[in-house]
Amino acid sequence: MKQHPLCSDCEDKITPMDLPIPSGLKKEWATCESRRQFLGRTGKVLGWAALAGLFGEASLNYRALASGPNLQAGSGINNLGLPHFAPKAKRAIYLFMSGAPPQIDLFDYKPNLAAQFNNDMPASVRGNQQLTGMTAGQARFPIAPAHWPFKQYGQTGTWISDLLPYTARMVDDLTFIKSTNTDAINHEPAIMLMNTGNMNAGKPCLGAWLAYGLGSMNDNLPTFVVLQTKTNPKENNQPVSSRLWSSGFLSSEFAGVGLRSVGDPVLYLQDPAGVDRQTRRKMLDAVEEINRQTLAEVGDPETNSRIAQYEMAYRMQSSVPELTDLSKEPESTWDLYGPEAKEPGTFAYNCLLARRMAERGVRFTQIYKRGWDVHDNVVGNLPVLCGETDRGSYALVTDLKRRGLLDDTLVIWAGEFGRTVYSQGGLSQENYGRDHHPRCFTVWMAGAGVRPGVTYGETDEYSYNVVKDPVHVRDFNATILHCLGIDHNKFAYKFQGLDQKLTSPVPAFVVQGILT
Amino acid sequence: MVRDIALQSGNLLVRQIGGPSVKPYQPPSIWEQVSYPTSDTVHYAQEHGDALHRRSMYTYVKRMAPLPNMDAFDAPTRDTVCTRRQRTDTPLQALITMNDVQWVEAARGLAERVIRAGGSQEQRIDRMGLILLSRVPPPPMAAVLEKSLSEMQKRYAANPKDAHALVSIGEKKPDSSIPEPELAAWAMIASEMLNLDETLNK
Repeated sequence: MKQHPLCSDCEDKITPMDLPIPSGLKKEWATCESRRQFLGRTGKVLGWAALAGLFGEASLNYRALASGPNLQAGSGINNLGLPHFAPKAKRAIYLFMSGAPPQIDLFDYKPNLAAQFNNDMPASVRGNQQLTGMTAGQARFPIAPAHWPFKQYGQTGTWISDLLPYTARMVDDLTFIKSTNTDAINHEPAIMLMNTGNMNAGKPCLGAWLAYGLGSMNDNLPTFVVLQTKTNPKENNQPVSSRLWSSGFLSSEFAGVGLRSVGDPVLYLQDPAGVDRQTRRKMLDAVEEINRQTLAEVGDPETNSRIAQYEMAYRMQSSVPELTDLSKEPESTWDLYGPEAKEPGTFAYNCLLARRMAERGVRFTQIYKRGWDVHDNVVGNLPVLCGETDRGSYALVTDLKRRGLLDDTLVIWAGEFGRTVYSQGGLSQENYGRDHHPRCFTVWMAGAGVRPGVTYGETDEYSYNVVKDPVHVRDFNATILHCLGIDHNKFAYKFQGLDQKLTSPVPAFVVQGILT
Repeated sequence: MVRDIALQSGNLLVRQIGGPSVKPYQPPSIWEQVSYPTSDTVHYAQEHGDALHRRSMYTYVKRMAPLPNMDAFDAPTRDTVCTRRQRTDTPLQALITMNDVQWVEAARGLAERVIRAGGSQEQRIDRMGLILLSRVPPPPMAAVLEKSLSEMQKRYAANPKDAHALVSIGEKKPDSSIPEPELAAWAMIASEMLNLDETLNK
């Protein structure tokens, strides 16, 4: 007679593993069972010491996972199973243009619009697109062609606005996506969606996922660094906050470490007055010795972690000043980045720091530049914004290329959405404004994993709707992960009963058309 | 909690209940970097006196720019409900508990507290242990602290300027009845004890 399958005396030896249950659950059970088997084997002689040892080891493994993935000997694959395949890029630098640059004035060349100056945008183009409260009440939606001429550059003959003379020089190194689109029409949800794959705060951002999944490549600097560009008070600066570089439900050691643009790049980095380096070293030696006593006494692996983090803090006290000490940069650096790069907090300075961090093995660097929210006075504001960012972006890509770093570094340039073809507020020959537009915007990438000189996706003649090869934000993020050797579908973290992913829950697709 | 323990052990904690939120020490340009220009909280105006030493729950919170020395310790962002606090351990936390004026001042306060209580060197170290660890430091721990103390005493006796600089940190005036080099040496021992895993983690 068949007995209950879970009965231990069952002669048929049916185990829970034979039941038709999800494989993930079986995996979890497998760890429980091995523990049960272990207890069964040693049950009679098992003392409290062995039990304590068992749990100690389990929590140690948990801790190892929590503090970042460890490489398994020789395989090049860490204990999270990453990378899933050979990565093209080891690291990434993300130039984030907060506020949303107008694609029509910079990249998305629409020569036919000039003849339609001040015409009403056809209602059929707008379709059912909801507008923001800032222009929904406008009586007219007059077409505002780009104020600046475009020219063709490089062997690819890519059209670039006169506003970006430096970007124009490197078009053959860049991969443009003109069909990027998003779900959100306002800054906060859109910028959250770009960074975390979700409009609501609380999810880990791209950098945190990379820090968690791929781990650190250096002992002296954080894995994920955020640089903020000093704001220009004349620009319309939308707020950015640490929500954007949050680790969400991942352990907060994976969150971005913000180097500040004013004063100390890292807060509390300097020893207090009256404490020199030698005194700090002696103080830390005493702390470490006592912490080792605590470790021996209590056996909590957290203590081990604290010892390591205090050492990292001490090393950062010298590695961060070394990182930001630009006195040994050769003259060619300043020729490339421009004199502005000598001033801490400028975009060019941050680009230079990003290159220095790439050299030092920082996995992910994100530079924020605020001010692109040009609702009015596009003609006045845009040249300033481009002047602040154009040369730095070009210098960074060129510098990485010269140093051979572009072979395993991915550079990304993007904002959170696009801007409207119609003018917000009054349109004149001299000036216009542009409102938020989620249906299409242009981003570019350069370096490891993406094909240089490619322009992907197309918009209609109003740069309003995508007509070919749409790339949703989720697809964009999936593509970035792909370049770093990660299959976005497999890269998940269990939280709140879900396999949480950067690209979930709606299916996302890697943009194969731009990959090398 | 960690900040409150430092304040309490250093005899700095103000026990007043309720009242408006306060603005304690904060590094410069934290708010300016993130604020919308027309916001009414663009600039942080640090307060003085008791405001520096209230319990952390009374600290003014700007959600766009949380106080960095609490943010690093995973203070909830207040964007969404928080059912369980994260517990992490980062180098930024170590930098705060070693270098933040709030902690340096508290360490000096703790040093003043045990020196004023009198007794031998051993008794003072025992008292520090009772205050922070709820136990008398076992002999191996005490040995490390005593050795460190004699090093610090030597260093600050030879460098009275450094001693003066260290004990002058924070707006609370140091106890002038204690020689500065002695106070500085003990302040470093107090800082060591405030930075122990056993103090922070248990």
